[in-house]
Amino acid sequence: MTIVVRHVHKRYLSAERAVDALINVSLAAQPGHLTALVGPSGSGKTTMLRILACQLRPDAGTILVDGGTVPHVASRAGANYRRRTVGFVFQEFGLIEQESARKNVALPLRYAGVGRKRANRIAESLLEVLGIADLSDADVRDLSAGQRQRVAFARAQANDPPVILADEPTSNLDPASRAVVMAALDRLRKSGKTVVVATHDEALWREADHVVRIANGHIESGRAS
Amino acid sequence: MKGLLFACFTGIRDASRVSGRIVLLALHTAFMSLLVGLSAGMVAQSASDIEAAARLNSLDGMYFAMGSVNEQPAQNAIEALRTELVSVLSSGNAYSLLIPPMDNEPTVVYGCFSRVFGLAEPAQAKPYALSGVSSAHPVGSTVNLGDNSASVVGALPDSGYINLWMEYTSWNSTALLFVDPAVSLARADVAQLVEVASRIVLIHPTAAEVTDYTSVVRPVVSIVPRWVNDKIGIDFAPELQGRIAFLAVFVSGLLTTIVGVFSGIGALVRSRSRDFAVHNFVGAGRPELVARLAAFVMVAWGLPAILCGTIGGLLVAGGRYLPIITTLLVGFVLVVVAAVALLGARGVTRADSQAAIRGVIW
Repeated sequence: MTIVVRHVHKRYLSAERAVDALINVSLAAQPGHLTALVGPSGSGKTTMLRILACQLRPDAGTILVDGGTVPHVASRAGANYRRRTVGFVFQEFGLIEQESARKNVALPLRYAGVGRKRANRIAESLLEVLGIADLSDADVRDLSAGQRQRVAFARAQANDPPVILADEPTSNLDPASRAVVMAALDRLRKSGKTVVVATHDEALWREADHVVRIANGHIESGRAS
Repeated sequence: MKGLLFACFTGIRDASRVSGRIVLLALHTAFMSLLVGLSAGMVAQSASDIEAAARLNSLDGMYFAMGSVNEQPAQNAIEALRTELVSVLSSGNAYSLLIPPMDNEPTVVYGCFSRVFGLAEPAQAKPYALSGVSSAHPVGSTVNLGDNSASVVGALPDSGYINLWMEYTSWNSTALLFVDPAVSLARADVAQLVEVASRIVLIHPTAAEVTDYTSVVRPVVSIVPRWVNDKIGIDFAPELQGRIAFLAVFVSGLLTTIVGVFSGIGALVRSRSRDFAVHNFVGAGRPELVARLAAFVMVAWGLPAILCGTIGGLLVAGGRYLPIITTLLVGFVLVVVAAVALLGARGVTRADSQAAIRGVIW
C-alpha cells in the first residue's frame, strides 16, 4: 500500500505551552520499500508514526493510504484500520507483561474475529519464523529485550497487515537481536509490505530505500538509496 | 462479533485480577440486593392486598373481626347460628370460607364467592371444585374433605382472594370446593360454624342486616363488623407506606454500591492502563472496550444484584411477585452496567495512551 502524507501539522497543547511536533510535513512510502524517518529525539518521528498508525489525529493535512484517507482515531473504522491495515512495533515493545508471548501475538487476531485455536497456531508460526517458538508459553516479563522485540514484531504481523510501522526497533538491543530484527524488516520489505521505521540507528537507515530526515517538526531532506 | 465476545471474556478475567476489592463489592451488593428483593416483594404484596380489597370495597364489603369464642354455647344458639348462616350465605349477598389446616386439602367456599371474584360458574350443581394452576388436584380428579367430595370441573385463573384477615392469598396451589350451604352446614360442628361465621363477607349489607347477623352470632362467638374501606385506610395503606419506606432505604443502599462499582472500574483502569492502551492499539475499538468493562461490571456487581435480588423476591409470598421484581432488577442492572461501562470507556479513550504504554501512571 502506498502511503502519501501531505502538509500534516500536529501541535501538542499543555497547560504551560504549545509544541509544534510536525509542521507542514509531506512524504511518501512505497510498498516493497523500507522508509526510514531519522532525526534527533523530539523531532517528531514518533508523532508521524502514530499518525500513520491512526493512534493520533493530525491537526491539519491529509494522509492517504492506498488512496483512502486514514479514518478517525476513535471511530469503528479507526479500530478496524489498526487491526487490519497496520502493524505497529513500539519502542517500548507495548506488550502485556503478564501474558505469554503467544497470547500477545494472538491478541490482534482475536479482535479480528479469529478463534482462539487458530489464533494460537498463527501466533506460534510467527514466533517460529522469528526464532523464539520455544518461548511461546513464557510470560513476556521473563523475556530479554531482544526476545520482547521479536514478540512485538510477530504481533505486528499477526493479521498480515500491508503496512508495518516500527518505532526505534533496534534501540537497546544486543547485536544478535539487532541482526534478527533487521532481517525481519528486510523480509517484510521483500514480501511487498510498506515498511516505515523511525530510527537513530545508522546501520538501519543505511539499509532503507528511502530516508526522511526530520528536525524540529520539519522535513529537512529526503533521499532514495 | 467474535471480537466483542473476546472483549467480554477479557472483562471477566479482569474481575478476577482485582479480586479482593471485587469480592467485597459483590458481597455488599448481594446483601443490599437481598433486602431490596425482600422489601420489593412486600411492597408488591401490600399493593395486591389493596387492589383485591378495592374490589370488595367497590361492593360495599363488610367483614368481621373475631373476638372471644363462647366455650359452651347453648344448643339453641348453635342451631340459630346454623340457620342464620344458611340463610345469609344462600341470599347471594355473602360468602365465606372454611380453610383446612392442611395445605393439600381444598378450601371450602360458601355463597356468592364466584360472583365477587369474577369466576365462571359451571353449569353443574354444587358441590364441585375448581383447582389452581399448580394445585395437586388436576381437572377431572376428585377432592375430599370430610363428608364433602366433588369432581374438579375447571381451573382457576392465575389470581387470588382476600381471606378473613384481609390478606391477598394466591389460590394457584389450592383447590376450591364449592358447596351448598344448606347441605354442608347441616353437618358442620361448632368450630366449623364459628370459622364460617367469622370469615363471612357481606356485600351491600344494610344496618338492619348487620344487626340481625351479629345478634345471632354473638352468643357463640364475639364478632365486630368492619367495612373493607376501613381496613384499607387503617391497615393496608399505612403498611404499604412503611414498606415503601423500607424499600427506599434499601434501594438507596443498593445505589451506594454503584459508588463501589466506579471505584472498582477506577482501580481496574489504573492498574491496567497499559493493557487497555495495548488492546486499543492492536484493534480494540470503543465497542470492544465497552464490552470488556460491561462484562467486568456485570461479574462484580450485576450478577450478585440480580441473583440475590431474585432470592429476596422468592422469599416473599412464595415468589408470586418474582417476575416483576426480576424484570425491574434486570432493567436497573442493565442501565447501570451500560452507564458505567460507557463512562469508563470514555475515561480510557481520553487518557494518554502513549504515556500508558511507556508505563507512566496517569
